[in-house]
Amino acid sequence: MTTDDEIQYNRSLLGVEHEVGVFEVTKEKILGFAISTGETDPVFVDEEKAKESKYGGLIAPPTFCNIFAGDIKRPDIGLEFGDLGFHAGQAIEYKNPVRPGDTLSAKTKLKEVYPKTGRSGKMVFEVWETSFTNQRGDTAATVRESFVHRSKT
Amino acid sequence: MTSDTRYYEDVDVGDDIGPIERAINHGQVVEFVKAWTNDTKPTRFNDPETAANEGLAGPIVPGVMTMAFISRLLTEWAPGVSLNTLDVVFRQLVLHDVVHTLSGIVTDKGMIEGRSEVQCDVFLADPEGTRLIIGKAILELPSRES
Repeated sequence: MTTDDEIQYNRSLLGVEHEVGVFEVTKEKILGFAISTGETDPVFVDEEKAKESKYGGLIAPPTFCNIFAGDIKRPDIGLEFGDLGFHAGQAIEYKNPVRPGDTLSAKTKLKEVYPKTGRSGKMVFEVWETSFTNQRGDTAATVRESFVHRSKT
Repeated sequence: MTSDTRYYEDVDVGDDIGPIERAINHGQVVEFVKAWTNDTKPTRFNDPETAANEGLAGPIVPGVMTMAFISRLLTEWAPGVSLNTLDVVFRQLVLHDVVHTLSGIVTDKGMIEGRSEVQCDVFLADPEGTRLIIGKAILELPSRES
């Protein structure tokens, strides 16, 4: 069993926020996301009908900010464990509508690093949390991503 | 509210969500990746050869795209619902053009700080019934009492 104390990584990164980019939300990006995932709700795909909705215009589907999270460059935590890495899981907490013309500032922090033993042996999970804040200062969404590291053998 | 609005009061713990069947086709993934990355360079998501070189059985669906389809399962079940949280585990890869089953079950409901919330487990399974993605979601449904 690997314990927390035995995992070698840069612990000074834990909980420290990093500004990792500003993302422009365009109508084209919202429509590309919505149409490719088969959305039919007019608030996501029909600019004119969306004007009559409670949102007063086009908004992005609830998991939209996930695509920006995938583009973020995170600091290397210097983990000395394993030689394989996988995207193990993701969570999104939706806070406020995202609209065309929004500018989302992203801040990310290393949330936790912990060991686990599964059927494929020892693993270490690296968890990052990223918040997206719009130009009005409202949080649009928080995304938590888990990456698992393990050895080939 | 429309006639197909699903109200908080109409939902019980144990209710099924779906199932619905969806094949995420190659063209959809190509369009999604374009919206995501703004380019068309070959990756494991959009190019069979790159996927094969990485030892995959075929190009795969990005995890974040599968989350969008799970989100649709929930919004089709309860149109107009607010999806507050979706938390998933990617257990196995999802391949293009395979008919997958998306489903869920209501596990809890309650009034949380004035919000009429419903919690559920969600799944994406392959044709053999293997659950490739599992997760939990928290939804806010309209209430007849508000």
